Amino acid sequence: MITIHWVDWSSGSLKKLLLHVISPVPGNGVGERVAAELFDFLQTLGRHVLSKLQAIVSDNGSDAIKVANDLRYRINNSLEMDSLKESYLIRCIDHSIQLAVKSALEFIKAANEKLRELCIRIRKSKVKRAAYRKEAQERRLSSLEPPQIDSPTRWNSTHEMNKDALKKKLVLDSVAQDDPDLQEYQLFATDWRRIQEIVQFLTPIRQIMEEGAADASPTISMNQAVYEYAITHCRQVEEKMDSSEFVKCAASAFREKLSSYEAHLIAEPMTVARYLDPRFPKPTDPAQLLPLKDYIRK
Amino acid sequence: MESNDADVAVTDDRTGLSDLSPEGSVNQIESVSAVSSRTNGGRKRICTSYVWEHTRIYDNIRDHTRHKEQRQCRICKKWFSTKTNASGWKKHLYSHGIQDPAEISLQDNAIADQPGSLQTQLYTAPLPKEQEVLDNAVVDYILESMTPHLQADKLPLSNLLSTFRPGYKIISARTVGRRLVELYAIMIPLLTKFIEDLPVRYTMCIDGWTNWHQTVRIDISLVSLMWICL
Repeated sequence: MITIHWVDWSSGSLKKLLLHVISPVPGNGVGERVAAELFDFLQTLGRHVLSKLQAIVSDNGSDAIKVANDLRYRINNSLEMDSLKESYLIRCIDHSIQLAVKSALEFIKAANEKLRELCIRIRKSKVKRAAYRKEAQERRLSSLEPPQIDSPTRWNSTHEMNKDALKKKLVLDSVAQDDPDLQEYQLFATDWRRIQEIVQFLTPIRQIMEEGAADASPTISMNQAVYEYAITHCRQVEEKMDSSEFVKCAASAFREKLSSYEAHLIAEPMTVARYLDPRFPKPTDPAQLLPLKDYIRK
Repeated sequence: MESNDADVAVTDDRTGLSDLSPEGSVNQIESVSAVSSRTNGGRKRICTSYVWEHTRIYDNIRDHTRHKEQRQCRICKKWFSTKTNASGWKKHLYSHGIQDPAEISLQDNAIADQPGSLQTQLYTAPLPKEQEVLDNAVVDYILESMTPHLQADKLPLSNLLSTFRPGYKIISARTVGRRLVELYAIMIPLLTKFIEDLPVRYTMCIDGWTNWHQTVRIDISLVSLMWICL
């Protein structure tokens, strides 16, 4: 489905229009087929439309990346010039962070699987849920419900589940110990400690991602800032003396994964966008400012 | 000579640009209408009919081994044999409201004007000119409000319109669908002009996913981008 969106300058309203529908056949090479059809469609609109393409933004999906690369190749070949540079294929920072977090969460995968299964079983059975509520009431917890189950594609839900489980740790342990069906899912002290360390490590990253969510008008200008913040945070955790080896490894895995996308997250369009975004302070050092202005003018 | 126009041979299957002229012409109209083809004797020639710009030949990569030896209508996406000649395509394209531009200019646009008093018009079936205005209003309403075109066949809308204009019978959903396709064909060149005249460039956002039926869904959005020079 190809749609076009633009802001009507006279009224300031957002306009959208359905342009074309693509129905690629599922199977191998979907990216190639979509790129071919997309290029064909853009070409029917004319050379000027092709040459006005500034950048392509996509997530980290292999098909989307294939479409972007293939389209860039076709457009540059058709126009016989380097109209669309490789650095103008921009990845989504949110998807990149999601992948980096996933690599950090791998360190507590076994503990999370046990915790997830424990919560599912308590939530499903009326008897187990009643036992949980009774235990929570005795321990004077404000919430009598077991932690929410996470969604595998939303890392902040896993973070929330872990955070909530840490608060209800004693109740969960007690219920798992008393019930023979749940004993195999009881978490050890090491598991809880590791979960706590990972939760602490991911809290600032979650905070910045939530602050830059839809309400804060996320734009590509935020890519560089979020990337730099995440990398700095990882380095601080790695260099911190009182950090355990475990969380240092998780931070290192996170940083390495995110760094592998650096070229697609910090490129010319993002640098220019950050400079033009009034939310970010301009560099005060003339040594930094002048080359940037020259570059934008060029 | 149009009868042999469809006997085209695909010259460039790899790029999917078989309907471009071999010289790689950059002009869209030239590139699409000037289809390179070969006769049985191997002689190279150019297909000049307007119908070829609305069709495309089977492409090995994109069409994934389906519809070999077929040509697709760019409007309704239906496949037809490559043996379909320009006259056949003309007839098909006419169903989408696409006619030969040369013929359109010769057509007589004068519609019989039958004036009548407002009193006589109100409770009788609308005259052709008024019918056309009302039909256009229905299509505009369905287009602007993003209402499914099948609503035209439903009683509430029909009743509403016949209350506002007694004697008017709403056009069928099929007709509305056809008119929407006609509007699409009109809109594309206008939109091209709009993008060409934009003082800014645009970005493309691509996202893809599959649903429970494993059907591929790709969403591509073109977003206009303000590019400011300091």
